[in-house]
Amino acid sequence: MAVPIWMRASTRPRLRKNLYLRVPVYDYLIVAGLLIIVTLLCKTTGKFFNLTDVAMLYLVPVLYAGARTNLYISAGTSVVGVLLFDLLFVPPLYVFSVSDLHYLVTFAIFLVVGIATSVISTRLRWQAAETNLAIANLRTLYDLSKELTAVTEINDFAGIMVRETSRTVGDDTVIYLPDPTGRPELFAASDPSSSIATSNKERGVAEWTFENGQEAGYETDTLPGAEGFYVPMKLEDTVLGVIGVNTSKETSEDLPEKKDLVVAVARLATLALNKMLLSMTTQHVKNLEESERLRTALFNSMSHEFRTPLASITGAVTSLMTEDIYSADERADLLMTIEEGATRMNRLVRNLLDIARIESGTVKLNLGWCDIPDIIGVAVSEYEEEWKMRPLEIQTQEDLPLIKVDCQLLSQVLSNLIDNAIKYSPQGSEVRIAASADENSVVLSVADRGQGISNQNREKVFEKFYRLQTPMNVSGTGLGLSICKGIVEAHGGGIRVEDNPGGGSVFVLTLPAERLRPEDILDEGAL
Amino acid sequence: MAANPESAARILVIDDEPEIRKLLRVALGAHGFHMLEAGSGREGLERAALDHPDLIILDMGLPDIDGLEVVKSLREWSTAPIIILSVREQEDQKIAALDAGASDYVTKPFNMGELMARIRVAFRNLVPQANTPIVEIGGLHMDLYARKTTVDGKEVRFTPTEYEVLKYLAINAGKVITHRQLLTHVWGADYTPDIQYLRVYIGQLRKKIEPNPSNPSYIITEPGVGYRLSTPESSA
Repeated sequence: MAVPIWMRASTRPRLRKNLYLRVPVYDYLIVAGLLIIVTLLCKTTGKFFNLTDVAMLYLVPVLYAGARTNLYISAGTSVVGVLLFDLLFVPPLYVFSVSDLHYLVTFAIFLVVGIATSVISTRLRWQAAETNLAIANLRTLYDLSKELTAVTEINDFAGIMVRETSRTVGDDTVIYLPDPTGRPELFAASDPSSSIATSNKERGVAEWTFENGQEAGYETDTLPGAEGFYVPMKLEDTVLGVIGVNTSKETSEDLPEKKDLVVAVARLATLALNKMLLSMTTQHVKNLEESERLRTALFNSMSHEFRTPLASITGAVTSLMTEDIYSADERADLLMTIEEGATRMNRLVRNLLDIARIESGTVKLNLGWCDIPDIIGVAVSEYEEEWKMRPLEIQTQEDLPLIKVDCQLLSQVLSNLIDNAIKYSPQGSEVRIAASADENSVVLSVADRGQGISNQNREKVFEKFYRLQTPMNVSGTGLGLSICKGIVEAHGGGIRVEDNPGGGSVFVLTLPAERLRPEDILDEGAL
Repeated sequence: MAANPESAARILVIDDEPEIRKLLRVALGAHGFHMLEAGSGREGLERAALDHPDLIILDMGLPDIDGLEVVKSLREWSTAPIIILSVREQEDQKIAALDAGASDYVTKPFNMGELMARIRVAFRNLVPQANTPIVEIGGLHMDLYARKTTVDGKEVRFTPTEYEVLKYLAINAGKVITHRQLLTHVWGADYTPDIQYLRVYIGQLRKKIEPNPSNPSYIITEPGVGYRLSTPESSA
């Protein structure tokens, strides 16, 4: 298995650096202290320790120095230990000479142990540090990848990339992504006023990287005069974008590591970017399919829906034009038919425009503080003629708050529900509209005395083009309720249908709207 | 009834749809008006300057000049009432036109009775209203001089702000008043509070004067635009 690039780090410079590793003063003191203690201990206890024991005891400071300090100090400690041992304990005493050549072997072992300990421990410590660094980098990359998975907008992606990269690497970062014509364009910069974001030379290097799909810039083979180090986000042969990091301020020791990190970040970004592009394409295809399906359904439903009122209008108009046999009442009836047909067609057009807007996701809520009775009033007034023929009851709770919604769209939801209530219930039967508010939401309902909706249809009625088969043979497009649902959901609310006790259905809207109590306004207004 | 071109009020219709102009020619003629017509904004401005119509009916969606620009140009020198014809999608333009000095609006497809009512209201508002301190609409009776209001004979009391709102609607009875016009008038141009103030005061007023505040018969909401105090002649 290939070692991930951020794990592969250049070992040599690091190890050499460790030879000169700065050692805290107290470690010098401890080493010196240990040497003194061992010396005094062995000197004062007289013959208690034999020479081998003394040699072993002198290994203690050597081992400590090896484990805690750098190679020079531990080698030095070994030498000092050897000298002290020789001078103070090995006969002849108090001269740097040995009577038995055997002791030279002891001295050699001493030196070897000291240096070996130091080398091994230094390497271990270095590896630990390196592992920690790798873990830190991994964590950074993991965090970044987590953050990137949540991103769906290309601008968010670019923003997060420059922010996180510059935070991790510690240098100014820029990201280039192709514009609609495929030319690389500076999409985001961690600091828009930084030199790599503003200089034309830097832009040129980024463009070269984009064109050629190879790293370029600072301390590379191509255009090394640049401040930035540019890495392509490349998938197979396609360059999706370029990340540039101003590595010119890094020391030559840190540079390889920083560059590795930038490359790793770029790979991660490539995957995230690719995923995002794919899902955008998928979404696009899905939208196309959906709009194709919608178009077919619309054609089927529309040709019928438009012809019906058109037929009645044409029929009535041609009757009035060609035959002069109608009484005044009959003429009024025919004219009424024309008006109804025209109103019907106007509603159809409105519904079509609305569904197109909801489908394309361009419903923009024009949020404002709305008075609930006012919303109801606007919807109710559209059916003025109807209320002359059937009872309308409106129950609104006292002291309803103002709610922050799109007043007109919400009126339209109510209007569609009222239209349904009228169409699907017997003539002359009551329509009841109610509004109440509790701590969490505002509830609006429209109740009719129709034949009700069976359990299995209660979800389906809100689907596009789904229409109930009723003995009344009601005309319609099957769009009204799906528009209601679209609008209510855009407000973060819900819509459902329930049984109306005593017969019929109740359509209930629940809106978690922000509210404002009239008293608060009036108090303010009194200022 | 045939229009007498010499004495009839002259109405200029600026609309690029020949069908609409034809329809209006018949209907306006039957109501005793003399109709002038223009098929584009430029032509409309020319006709207005040459013929000095008494009232202008203006379509917002003209092919050459934006309807709002036509209103602004007209208002530079003409005080003739302007009634906007618009489709639902031109809401913002319509409000801008009203705030720029148009008198009223009718949404296409329109009810001819409604358009005629708007025309009557516009002409009536040309006559200064100050010498008629009594406003009477159905059961609502306002004596602006005595600051006394009764609904179905019963006296209703208002807070000063409520009264100002109702009074402004009443002296413009039948005409649409945009949110901004009402706010500027009642609270002054320097301090224009948010629309929610208006919603609350209208809500309070309706509780006091409407038999059913959720289905008002006096203060009518013009969705997204403003309010209108209904008059027998403003409703079709």
